[in-house]
Amino acid sequence: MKKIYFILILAGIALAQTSASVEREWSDLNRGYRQLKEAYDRERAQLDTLLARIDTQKENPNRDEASLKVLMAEGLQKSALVEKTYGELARMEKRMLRLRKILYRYYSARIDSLSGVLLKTEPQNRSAMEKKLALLRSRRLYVSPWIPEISFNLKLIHGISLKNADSTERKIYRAYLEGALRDVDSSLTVIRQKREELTGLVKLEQKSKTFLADIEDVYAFDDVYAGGASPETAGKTEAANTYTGNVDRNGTPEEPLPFIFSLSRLNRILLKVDGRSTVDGNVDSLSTESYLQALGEGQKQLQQLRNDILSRLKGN
Amino acid sequence: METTIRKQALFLCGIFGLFLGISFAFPGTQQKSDFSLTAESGLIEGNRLEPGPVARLVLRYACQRRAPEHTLGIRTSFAPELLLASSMLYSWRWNGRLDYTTEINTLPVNFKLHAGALTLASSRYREYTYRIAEARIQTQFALSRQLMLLPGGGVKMQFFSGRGDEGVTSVPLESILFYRFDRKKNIALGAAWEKYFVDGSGESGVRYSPVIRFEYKGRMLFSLGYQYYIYRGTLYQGREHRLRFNLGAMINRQVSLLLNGSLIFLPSSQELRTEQENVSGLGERSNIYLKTVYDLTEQSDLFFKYIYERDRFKNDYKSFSWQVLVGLDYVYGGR
Repeated sequence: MKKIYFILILAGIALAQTSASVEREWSDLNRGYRQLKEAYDRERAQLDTLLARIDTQKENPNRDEASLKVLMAEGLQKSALVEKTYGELARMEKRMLRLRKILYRYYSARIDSLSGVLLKTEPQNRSAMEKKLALLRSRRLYVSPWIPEISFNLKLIHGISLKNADSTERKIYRAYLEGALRDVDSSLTVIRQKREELTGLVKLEQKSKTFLADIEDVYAFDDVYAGGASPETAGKTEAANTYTGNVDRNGTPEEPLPFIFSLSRLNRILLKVDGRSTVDGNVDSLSTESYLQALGEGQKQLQQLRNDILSRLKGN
Repeated sequence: METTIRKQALFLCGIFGLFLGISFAFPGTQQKSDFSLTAESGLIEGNRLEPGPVARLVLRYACQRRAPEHTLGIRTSFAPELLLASSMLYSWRWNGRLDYTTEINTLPVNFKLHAGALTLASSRYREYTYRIAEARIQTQFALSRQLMLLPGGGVKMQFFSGRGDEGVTSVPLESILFYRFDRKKNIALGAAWEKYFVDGSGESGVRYSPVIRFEYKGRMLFSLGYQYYIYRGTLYQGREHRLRFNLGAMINRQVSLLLNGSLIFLPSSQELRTEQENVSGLGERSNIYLKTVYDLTEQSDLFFKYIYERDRFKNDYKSFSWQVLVGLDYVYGGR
């Protein structure tokens, strides 16, 4: 019995620690990952140089065998180091993906419950709760699996002013901004495609529901109510099923997402962990409507960034 | 005849008024409602009653009101049908549903109360009148974000004649465990149990079955449900397989294809017993509904339908029909 109490206490402590410790680990891991990635790129470049030197030596008919041996030993050592760093990076990526999922679910659950409480809160007390919600939503977006990678430094983009730059700087900055614009456009294309696909799915679901209602209303004779309620719709009513409005998983209407992300924070929001493939990533806890809504939000953010880059390119 | 139609019209107006009354009396903060109209016409063939041209109209009204912790939804439809065969035959179906949901915000629990009624009546053949009324409560316990437990039950009454003297009253109970693999796939596993009583005769029975349902929502929609019913009691003794499937696919931006069907068949060793209670009796039945939809505008669709229905009772009695229809759907409101 004592053992069970001990396990329960441990589990309680572990659960209580979840959010804070996971958030800390996530942030440490992100920092560590960036540093290690830089180190990996550096080592990789050194290895490439070394390999090129070995090739040149090998092609040389009057080569110095002793120095070639030294070079090859060095290459082998470097290669092992690169392999090791790569392994470490892969391990970190795996862990980050896991933490990302945990945090995403945690934030989603908090948002769901706070949204429900917010509706019942007195108007004078709402402000603090809305701020809390906004913070949670921004954190959730930070760990959202559908935000594609932006490989440009947004802080730098915001600091660029073509007006005050000399001709060489202007040339460099323009190239940088154009590259960033291409990157944003390509991300926007991915999001648009995904949204289009999902809009089609929502439309199809709607048609399918109408068809089932049609069969029940007009043709079916027996067991007309025997279709069984799916939890997908159990929080909603049958009448609600004819809509595809903003309804969260508890069936409560979700407030429109406030525009809470300043552009300077976007850098932190748009992750650099996974590639564009994450647009198709695991968003298991989302309903199609919520996923669509989240993509819309992502698109809005990127569109704003695009407008900002364009205005900087025009020299404003 | 005129008196009957007047009575029916009054009945429908009364029900509609009641629905509207409930809807507006409910202290909701948000309201959504829509009307829809479907008109279709085509041909019925087969050895069933009155094959020939057919024209149908379906009027639907759906309304939903929300308050922070409660949701009320009503849905009603009225579908008159005119068979233009050797003799004109008019019949109609009315279907009404009222769904009420309450949530406890502090707990992952959700209660749903549903009341529904359906009437199928014919202007000439009163013996074909069929009525069903049902009240059901369903609870939903979220065990995690992926796993839910859905226990529920209720009372269901079915009448097989216009006089209401032949019927079956049943008490269905079911418990489903719902697991969501990811956004696209989910599976429901559970058990259903139903005790039924035949009105007047004092006979009763029970049927129970495992419930399996799989659902996929990707580039297309697909769901497949299976139940294996075991009947016990004085009225029936036997087993029955039931399959339900639903498929939806988009051919392109404007065209979608929808397929729905159900299949009731018996284990091969089992004899077909009766032609009477095809509601809970032992017989074979298959229904296939196919619909191709063309989006005309945001509000309206053009569709083609193919419907096939087949029954087999007592081994020798077979009935079947197929329908080919063309029509228009129009929705006014929350699309």
